[in-house]
Amino acid sequence: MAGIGFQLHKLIEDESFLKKAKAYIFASIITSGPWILSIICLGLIGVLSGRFISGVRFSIVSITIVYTFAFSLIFTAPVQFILTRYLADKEYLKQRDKMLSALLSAILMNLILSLAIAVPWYSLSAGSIPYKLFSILLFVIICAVWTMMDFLSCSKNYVGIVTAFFIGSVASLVLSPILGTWYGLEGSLAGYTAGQLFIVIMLLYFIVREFPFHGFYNREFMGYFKLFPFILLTGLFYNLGLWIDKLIGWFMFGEKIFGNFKGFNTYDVPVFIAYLIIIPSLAFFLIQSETRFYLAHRRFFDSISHEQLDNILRYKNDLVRVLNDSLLKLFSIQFVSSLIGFLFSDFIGSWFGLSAQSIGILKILFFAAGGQVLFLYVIIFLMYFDLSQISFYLVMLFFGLNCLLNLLFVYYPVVQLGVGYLVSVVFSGVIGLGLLLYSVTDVEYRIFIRQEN
Amino acid sequence: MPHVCMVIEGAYPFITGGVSAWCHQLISEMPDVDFTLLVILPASYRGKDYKYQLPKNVVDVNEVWLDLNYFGEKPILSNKKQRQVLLDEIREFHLSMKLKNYGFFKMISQILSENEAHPFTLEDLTKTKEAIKTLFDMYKDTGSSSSFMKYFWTWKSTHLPLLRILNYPLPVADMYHAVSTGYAGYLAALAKLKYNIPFILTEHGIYAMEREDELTGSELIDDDQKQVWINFFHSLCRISYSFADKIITLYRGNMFIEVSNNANVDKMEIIPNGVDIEFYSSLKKIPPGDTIRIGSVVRVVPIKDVKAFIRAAAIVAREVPEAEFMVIGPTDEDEEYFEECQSLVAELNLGDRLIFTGRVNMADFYPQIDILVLTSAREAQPLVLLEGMCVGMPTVATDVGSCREMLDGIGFVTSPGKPEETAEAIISLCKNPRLREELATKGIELVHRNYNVRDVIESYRQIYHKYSTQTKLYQMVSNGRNRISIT
Repeated sequence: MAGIGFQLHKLIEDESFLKKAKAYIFASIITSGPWILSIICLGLIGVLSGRFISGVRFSIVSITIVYTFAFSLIFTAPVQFILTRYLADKEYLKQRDKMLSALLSAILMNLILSLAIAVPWYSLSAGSIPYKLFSILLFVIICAVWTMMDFLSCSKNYVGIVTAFFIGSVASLVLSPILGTWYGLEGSLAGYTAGQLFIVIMLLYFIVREFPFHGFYNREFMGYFKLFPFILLTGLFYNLGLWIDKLIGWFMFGEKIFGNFKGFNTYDVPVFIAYLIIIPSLAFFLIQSETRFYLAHRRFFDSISHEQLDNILRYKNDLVRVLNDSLLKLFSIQFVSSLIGFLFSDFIGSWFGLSAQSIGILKILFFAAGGQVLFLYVIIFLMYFDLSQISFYLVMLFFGLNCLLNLLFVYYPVVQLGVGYLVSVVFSGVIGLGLLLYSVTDVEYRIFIRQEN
Repeated sequence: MPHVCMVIEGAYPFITGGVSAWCHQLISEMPDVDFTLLVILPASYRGKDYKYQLPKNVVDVNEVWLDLNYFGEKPILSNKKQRQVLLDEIREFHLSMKLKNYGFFKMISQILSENEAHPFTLEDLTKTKEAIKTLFDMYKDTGSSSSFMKYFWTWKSTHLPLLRILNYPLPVADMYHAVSTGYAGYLAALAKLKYNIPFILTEHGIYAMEREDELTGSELIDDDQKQVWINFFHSLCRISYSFADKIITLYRGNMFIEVSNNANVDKMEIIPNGVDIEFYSSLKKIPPGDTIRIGSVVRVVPIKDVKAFIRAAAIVAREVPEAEFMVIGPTDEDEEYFEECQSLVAELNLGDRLIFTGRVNMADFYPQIDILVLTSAREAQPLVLLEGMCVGMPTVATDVGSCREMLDGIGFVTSPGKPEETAEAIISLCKNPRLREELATKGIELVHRNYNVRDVIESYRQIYHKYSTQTKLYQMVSNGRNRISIT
């Protein structure tokens, strides 16, 4: 879905450098959303709060936030992937009036799901009742933000969205230490939560203003869960795969931070820094690749129904060319970014105050994170070609490998941490790329094979 | 006893009409022949009731549904090469059909007989990469300017039923008798190749032309695709003509059309329709009194052009005050058309002088007709004319089907769609009682001489006996079956 990509694409067509830069910055924020901002936030809160609050208190709040991100991403992904598919279909059919009710259905589903996960978890955890309540609230909020992320790409109001993210993040950043000094642990978490609450309210406000309201329940959307089980599972296992090495790190190597929360700073901090390296290619993907690809894809699929075979095949070749070109450019951008990260890793590591071991891990993770996002592009392109079954097998492979290799290295620590993740990502990515390129060569056959009466 | 498999498309025993009545009569009158029916119908007739009480000598009824839907099978030919071979043969078959060469049809049936060793499904032929590729090539061959999607759907709608029935388990019989070309002739040709038994074809109306007429009237299909359909139907017919051992037609006019469509004249024979002479001769005419009763015995549907009859009636009514008119036959088949006819009657101020009787027993009504009129736009060999002549009435008919051939010197033949010509003929008959007498007598003689149903049935009986003794396949197979069940 490239709705917002097209809006931003208009900006880069402008000659002015400032407008281009603005487009890429906006794209970065929209694609990486709360994820990147939160990493920056956490880093800054850490730096700032050192002056106001104790290190122990900071690590408790930050592990709460990190867990919130990890588990919310995993558990909201199935609904989110289905929603993305539904919205793409509606966008294609130009039925925007059905979108909002689908989003609201999705938010409600994830609300129930997030409560079902967060309430038992925090009941069993340590901490005061107010701290638990704020933790649950934060989890629910972040789940809602994830659910809305793909919807935002249908919106035209990128200025509002970016502003909301920016103000909310600054609020979290400012309120967390301030309230922390006054009210301790609970205040610190409440301050952070308040900023995120602002984001979710503003996003909802923009969406409800832009899209017509037709109830909270969308029956057709609910039917998609039955129609596209592989999309649902792809969402789940992609995110499980993405987090499993971190989870293994926490629970096999990690030290208890408080209650049932464990952390593994040696691995966690390089992970969060390394993911910053995907921002340039994500922005490029949103503005350039997906928009161009979307147009070529649409032209090809439109031609199927009313063009002569020669034209259909020509559009198909165009589509393949655009796809190959996009993949090559994305790979180049990502590789250069990762390489730069790698070359400056000692400098970056010491700036963040990492240990020598963590810096070693960071070097590997710059490439692993790059591989991760390239793997994501492959999955997205496969979805465009309606090959959710293949993407499901791919993410299962990725999840399985990442799980297996990391467990293996726990017991036989022959290689550095992060290598298991890197190998899993590169291996699944290469297989995925091969399958994508292979499937695209006979897309026209598959379309006609699937034609039903 | 001969065992004949009669292949019937879109008629007996599910739908009433001329061909159905003919089938029913032929079977009923031939108790010394056993019949298996192979009836081909659109899937929408599945589960519907028969319109006829089947005679006792119908041993079995096999229903073939022309269905566009898949059965949800999967391609099962595991070997891509095998599938490609099959598809190449289908493609070759199409090319050869264009060149009017039927060798490949034989090959297809050969593949079928080997098909127990290499089973395949419809999906193999339509839902595999090889199948789509073959279709791409075939589309390119046509050089068509319409979209591939249209071609794809037209191809599917024409070929899916054909490919589907390729796998149909054809019943065993001594011989096959198809009562039309089209799908019926296609299945009979398959049976001939599969069992090596004779295949007799009777064609009432010319199938390809009837389909062409339907297509021309259709607004759903664009011209490019119509041509594909028309070619398809002509190809189907040519398969029948090419493989039939004998081609029976009702009259010479049809024979010429068939020959021009590649039927071999040496295989052809004319067996006209027949009427039950004893029955129709026994109907006693009811004296007219002071009126002249002019009747048209038709179903009220557009193809019979009832409106032309009404217009002719209006002209006659002005000239002949004692004339009265009847349209005898069901009015419920096309109610919209019937309403249009009624308003036309009112518009032309015919009032009570023209009545629609609806569905009636013809034995009551033939005796009340003094002049029989037919204004149809299309006919083959209308039984009404034969029956009417047999009862003893002068006739006026349009120049369609075999009417000119039949009525030469015996009745009036007018141009179709020209009510004034029909009216002129009726008026001259009304004004000349002696001519009416004379033509009626000639008509009776003609029917007795050429159109006796006993003769028709006798001709078919001889054909059945002659051809079924060539193989006696049914007997052999059923004897074998008995032996097995005894031991």
